[in-house]
Amino acid sequence: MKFQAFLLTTLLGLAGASAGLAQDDAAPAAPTAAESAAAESAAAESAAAESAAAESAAAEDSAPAAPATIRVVDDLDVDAVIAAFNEGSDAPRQFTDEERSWIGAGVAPGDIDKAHQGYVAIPSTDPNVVIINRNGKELRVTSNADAGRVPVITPDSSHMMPFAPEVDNGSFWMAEAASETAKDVDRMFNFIMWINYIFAAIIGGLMVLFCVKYRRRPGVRADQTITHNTPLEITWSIIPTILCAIMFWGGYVTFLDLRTPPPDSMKVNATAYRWGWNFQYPSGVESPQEFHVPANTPIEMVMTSTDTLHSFHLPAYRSKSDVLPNRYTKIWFNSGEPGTYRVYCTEYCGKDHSNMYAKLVVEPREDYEAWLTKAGNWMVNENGEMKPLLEIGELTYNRRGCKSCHSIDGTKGTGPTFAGLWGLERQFDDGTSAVADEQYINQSIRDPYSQVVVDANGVSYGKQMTIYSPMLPVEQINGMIEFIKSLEGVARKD
Amino acid sequence: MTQVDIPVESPVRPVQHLDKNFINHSKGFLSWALTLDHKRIGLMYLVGISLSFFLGGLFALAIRLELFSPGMQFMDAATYNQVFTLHGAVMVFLFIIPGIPAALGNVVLPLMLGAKDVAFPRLNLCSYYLWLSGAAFFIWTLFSNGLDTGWTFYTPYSTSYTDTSVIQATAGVFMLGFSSIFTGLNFLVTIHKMRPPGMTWHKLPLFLWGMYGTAIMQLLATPVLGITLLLLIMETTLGIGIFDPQKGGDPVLYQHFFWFYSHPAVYIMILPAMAVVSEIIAAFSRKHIFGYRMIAYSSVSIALLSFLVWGHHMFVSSESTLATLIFSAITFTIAIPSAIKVFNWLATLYKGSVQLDTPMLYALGFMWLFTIGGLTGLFLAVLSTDVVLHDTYFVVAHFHYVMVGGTLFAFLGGLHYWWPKMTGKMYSETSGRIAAVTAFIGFNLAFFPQFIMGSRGMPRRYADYTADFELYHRLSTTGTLILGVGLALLAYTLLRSLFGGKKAPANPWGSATIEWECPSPPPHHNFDHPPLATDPYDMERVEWDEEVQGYVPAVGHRPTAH
Repeated sequence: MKFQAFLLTTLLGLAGASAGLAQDDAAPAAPTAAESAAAESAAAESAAAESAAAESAAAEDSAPAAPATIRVVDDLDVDAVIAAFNEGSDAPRQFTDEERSWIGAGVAPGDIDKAHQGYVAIPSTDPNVVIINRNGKELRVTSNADAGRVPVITPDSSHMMPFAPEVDNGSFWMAEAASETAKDVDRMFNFIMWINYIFAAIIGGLMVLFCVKYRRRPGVRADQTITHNTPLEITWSIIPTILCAIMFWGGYVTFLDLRTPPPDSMKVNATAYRWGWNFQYPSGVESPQEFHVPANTPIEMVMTSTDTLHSFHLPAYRSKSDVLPNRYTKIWFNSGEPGTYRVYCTEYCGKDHSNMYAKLVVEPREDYEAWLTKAGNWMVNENGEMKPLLEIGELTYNRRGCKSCHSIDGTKGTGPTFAGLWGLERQFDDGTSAVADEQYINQSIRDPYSQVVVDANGVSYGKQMTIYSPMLPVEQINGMIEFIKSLEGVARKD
Repeated sequence: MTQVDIPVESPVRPVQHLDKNFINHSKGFLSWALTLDHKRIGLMYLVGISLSFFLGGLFALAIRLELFSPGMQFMDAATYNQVFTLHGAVMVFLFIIPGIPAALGNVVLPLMLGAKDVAFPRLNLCSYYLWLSGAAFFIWTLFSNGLDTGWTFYTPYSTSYTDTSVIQATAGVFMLGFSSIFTGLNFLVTIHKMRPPGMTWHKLPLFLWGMYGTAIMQLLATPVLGITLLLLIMETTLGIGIFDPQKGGDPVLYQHFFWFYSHPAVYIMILPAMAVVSEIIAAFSRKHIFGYRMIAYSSVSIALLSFLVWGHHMFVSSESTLATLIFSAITFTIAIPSAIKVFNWLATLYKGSVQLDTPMLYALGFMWLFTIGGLTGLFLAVLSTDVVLHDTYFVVAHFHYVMVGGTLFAFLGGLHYWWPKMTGKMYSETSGRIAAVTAFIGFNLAFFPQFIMGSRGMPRRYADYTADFELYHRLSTTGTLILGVGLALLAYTLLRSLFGGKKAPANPWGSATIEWECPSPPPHHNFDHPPLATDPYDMERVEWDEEVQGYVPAVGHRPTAH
């Protein structure tokens, strides 16, 4: 977006937003989020829109005054839905009245747990409003784009996928530590925190005490004889020096632990690109955005970047290293007990920096091996045959990070949409043009900067695209061609 | 140690106000635009950096409102990246670095020396115009493609991947750098050559010691920034491979160059703040500063050590283990002089006569916030804990405690302290105090939660976050709004005083430094006769006078020997 336009809209928006915030903290007015709505909640919303179509005209006129409540779908038999859900189950699930009302509004019984966490929205009587029940607190979120934006967060959302819930554990200051080395880091953290508490208490306490006790009073003069006191000054220089020496040494020893992988550690390569991660195993298996490791095993990560700086941050293991183009950096961690952990990019890398997440799954060795086999065979079906090219293309689109920039519903993203792209005349920023055919798609994937497209206003999309030539095998490129072909004729909204 | 009262018949009160002062002795646009008067240049700087602060503050507000809830509220991720970049760049380069030295220092430093002006008045004006040009380049950046590299301009993103106006912005920073160098050079020579009779190095007010340390860093470190940004511009425009690996360069080299300047720059920001606070604490305790020599020496040692610790910004950017060891060790040596200063200020309060006027509230606020900022710095100096906290909100909170809680609060304290001298007007003490307390509360609410979310893993520079960080972000945004209210009240208080404020006496606070001996505001030439310097913290040199509602030289006072 152009910056001038932004300045204007921000100033206007600030006034609106602050007014909105002032009104109601609990209900951050807001909206949309088509991109992030999960399939099921999206379906539920549209169902809501249809069935409530009659009321909606009236609701829009009469307004914001009438609060939205949980929708009731008249012809939905809640008992039948639950019975269908429990069919064949050894332990049929009982639903509370609240949960039954959600099912009655169109939430699938299997999604009730996610709805409790706030990841699945509950349709309301107002087609523009969905209800998010986040940790027992109800948020009413309007999907009216003009009112601001708060997308429904779903586990399948392309935007800020929630990772594992384990960060809610741990202490006030730190998430739960997942390895012994991480616990060493925490011991040092707590030691420094105690130094902080003690010094802050002494300094703050004395400051308040002196300001009260020696406040200015008529006839009382300051004691002008106290100008220095060498023994005192030496004391308060030496005590911090000793504490600093202890902290420095303790920190250094643990740092060496963090940096020195055991010789028998399992190696995983990670390649960072804008904006995602690709993990490679010694066997050649690749896995984007998510990697699994066996439990209680030292894992050494060998990392590099294909474009800008990135940083691999594993908070649960207290581990981090920048990832640089043309260099290899290493970290290691002992995987410890099974669990799911967050991986963040912590070095600013451009537009979707805050979306550059990955997931680490630590699991028992058998499960890990099963996953590895499956991950290695993702282009092959159960019978050991290659999947159809179109399916490979769709999987590639979802796995390789294409979807974070190129939409398939026609909306404009960081890159041009794939909808209706096939056969279109493309204008490049050097003035030339080409028809979107096989060769055009192949070249755009392997050497994107040789032909940068301009948008409907003639503005170049710029050099945003990841260069995939070293990563994408020919089956996947062919798959992408089929996938884009399948979107021919879909309406474009750019 | 004994004082002998010598009866004097009728003490001659010094002149408190003059009809012709530096503000009104000549009129017209050119009399300001072409002025060589350090006080006028200082005031023009003050207006400029205040506007920059306001602009940077708007960006801050936009950031915090966007982060009030998870998901995107009213901007997209690309816009958010521009907003946090511009917030950082405007605040650092246009406000904090020039803040105290160029605005307050320009007005006060020659007055404190009893001098007529700085050593090179033309260079001083040139430095102001360089600042103005740099600011103009930033405005140009805003209205062309914006800037989304982060204020650090890290390569190769800034040279090869962004399509925003990096060249305009870096050219602007280049000019601002020279503005800073000229100011430093000017102050260095002025302090060396223009001290009044009696002002030996150990009688130099601590504000000047701080300015002296700052000037050394401005002079020696800033050229490195200039060179680095020139190289960056050359890589972007001419395609010479210096930092981008695709062109054969090395991105880590850029980080070394950048932090070789920008770490001293952190102390360019905080040393003047410490210097201001040393003056305020002594004045409002009406007591001799405690441990004068230790404070003075610690300023200079901080200035020198600041050149040796740049690597602690790069503990996780593939720096060798040996280098991290050395940089971590040297970093701790800076903690000691900083701690010493805090203890000395505390000891100055002991058995003082403490008056909680507005400047003192800011100075005490500074002491607390800087203590938190400094103590949390320990987590980042320790190698093992830095690895997990690096580039998270913990770092964001830490440097805001130091930069905003430290430098901004000291700047505001200094602004209120010297306001009567600069403008000749007294502001409303009541609304000044309310503003100070509101800002203090708002600041803590805004930034303390950021420590917690940072240590729990929230990375910095994220346009969006997961729901488990929502509470901390909401507290932070609420605090920002309170801080904003405090600052708005502050602006109102000061601006109001210009139109309805009482006339200020020459010495409203009872300070013993020389700048309070000339009338408020000072005449064009500052002093009729070069004043004689004595101990700058001999507070009983002046005493309260009901008639002028200020302090006048005490009758028959004999300096106490120390």
